Amino acid sequence: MRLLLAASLTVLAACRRPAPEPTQVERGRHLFFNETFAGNGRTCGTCHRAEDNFGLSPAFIATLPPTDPLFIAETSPALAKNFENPRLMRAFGLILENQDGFGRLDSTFNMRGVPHTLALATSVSSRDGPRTGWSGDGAPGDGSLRAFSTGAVIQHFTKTLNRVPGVDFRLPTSQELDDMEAFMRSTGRQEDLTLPLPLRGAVAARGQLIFLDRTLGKCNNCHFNAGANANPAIFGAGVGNRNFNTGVANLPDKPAKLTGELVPSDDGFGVPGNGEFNTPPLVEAADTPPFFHDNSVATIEGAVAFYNGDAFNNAPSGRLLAGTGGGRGITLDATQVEAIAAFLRVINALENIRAAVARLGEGSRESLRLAAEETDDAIMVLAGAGLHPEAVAHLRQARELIHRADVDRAMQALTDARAQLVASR
Amino acid sequence: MKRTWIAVPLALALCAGGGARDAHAQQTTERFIPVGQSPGISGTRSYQGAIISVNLPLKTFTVRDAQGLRTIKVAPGTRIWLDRSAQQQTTADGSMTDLEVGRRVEVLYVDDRRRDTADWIKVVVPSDE
Repeated sequence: MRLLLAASLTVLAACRRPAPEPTQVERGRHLFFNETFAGNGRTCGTCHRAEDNFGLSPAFIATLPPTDPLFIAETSPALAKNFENPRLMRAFGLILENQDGFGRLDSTFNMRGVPHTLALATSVSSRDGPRTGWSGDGAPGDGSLRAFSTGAVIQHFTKTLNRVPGVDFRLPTSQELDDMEAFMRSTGRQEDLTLPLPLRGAVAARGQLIFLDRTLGKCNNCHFNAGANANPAIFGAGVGNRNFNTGVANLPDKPAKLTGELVPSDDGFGVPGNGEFNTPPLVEAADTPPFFHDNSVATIEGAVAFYNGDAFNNAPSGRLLAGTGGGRGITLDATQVEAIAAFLRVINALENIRAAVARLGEGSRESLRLAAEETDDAIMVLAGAGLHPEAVAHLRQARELIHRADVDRAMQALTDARAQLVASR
Repeated sequence: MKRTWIAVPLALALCAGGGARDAHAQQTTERFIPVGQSPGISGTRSYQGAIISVNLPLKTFTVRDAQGLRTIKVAPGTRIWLDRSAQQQTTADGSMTDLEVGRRVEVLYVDDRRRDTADWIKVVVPSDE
């Protein structure tokens, strides 16, 4: 009896024990996905969807109900004009931004895609200061990732276009900014790859060589190790992230402009802009289409081919590359374009597998769901170009095992898939 | 040798004509942030205090903050915003003439070498105006 009483007291004590304090990253995650800051109902996660690799694609938008706060411009009369362009949002995933000021809302704005927030820990720093958003100047205050959330609330969370703190939204507190920054830095890769990788596929391996070749692909100059940072051998130690004018703004036949909707030219960094945009990481590129700041290219092959065209080669960055020899910035044949894209698809799949294994190790139902999504992405990026069918078979098996919550065997299937893509070092 | 030949001119060219080095902060949303609440700026890289005097011809004004008196230049590129959040009204563009003695301001200085020149100025519009 005494033993039973003691056991009951122990159980009671355990029940009364307060839940462990959430970590800073957990607090940040909660804010990111749930906090509306007393605004129009949007959260950071409204546009940076965990289910869509922390970005927002038109395909994903098409799955959302009309009541989703993403579509607030369609439901709130106060935001019906000059807050979003619902047609361009739904068709191309474009979000309205006022980087050049709030003076003439009907004519001065930019339409930009939602950059994913994966691997921010590797991509925000530069020798010249922090770089956030598509043009590297997305945050108010000190321009840091921490301050970015304040600007996002003002731009995207407001109830009216007056944007009055305390009326249309509340600004994040200092603690909330710290917590959200910690969460944003925790998503995705925490370090860059070290290329070259011992890839098993002939096409992807050739793509990697072209990517690294300073006289052919020249990709590694600005996307060092397929990340977001510039090559320190060229730009100096500690260069970090850089902005470049690659001429995306000069692409002909951009999808959003073909609609006839007003899409003002986006001049990038600064006011007035200098035409430069931020270098995004490439490891996560293949499963986060569309590409470039205006979502103007739908496929990873098209994104690589962009550097082959006149828009890039006549732009400042293309001309500078041409000045280093060869007469033209970048000239690739179709097989070489596809080889580089295959390389990008394979390193994306490897990152998906790494993330899926990490998720499976966490053990929660939510982490199982996210592991399944990572696995789905790996299947998509490989199967999308007919790459590594054996690896895809292992991934499909892993997907099925995750569905059955058979974690150990799912991990083995993911490991088997990885072994098809890259040799162990 | 070949790699060096390519890398050096590329680095020189891109450094000369490449990315901008200043003003990474997005000024357009900054205008809506009330005095004293700019993340990473307020309390670290800005002055906050009351205007003591204004010299319109010289385009300078003097602020008393916690450290004493500071005379600040208004440059051609200095943005002046009227913080009307206390009245629950949106921020308005201001000008040098809005720098009135007695008004509370926050001033972001341009950089550490130009602490006497304003990058932006936020002027609190009193509730009774």
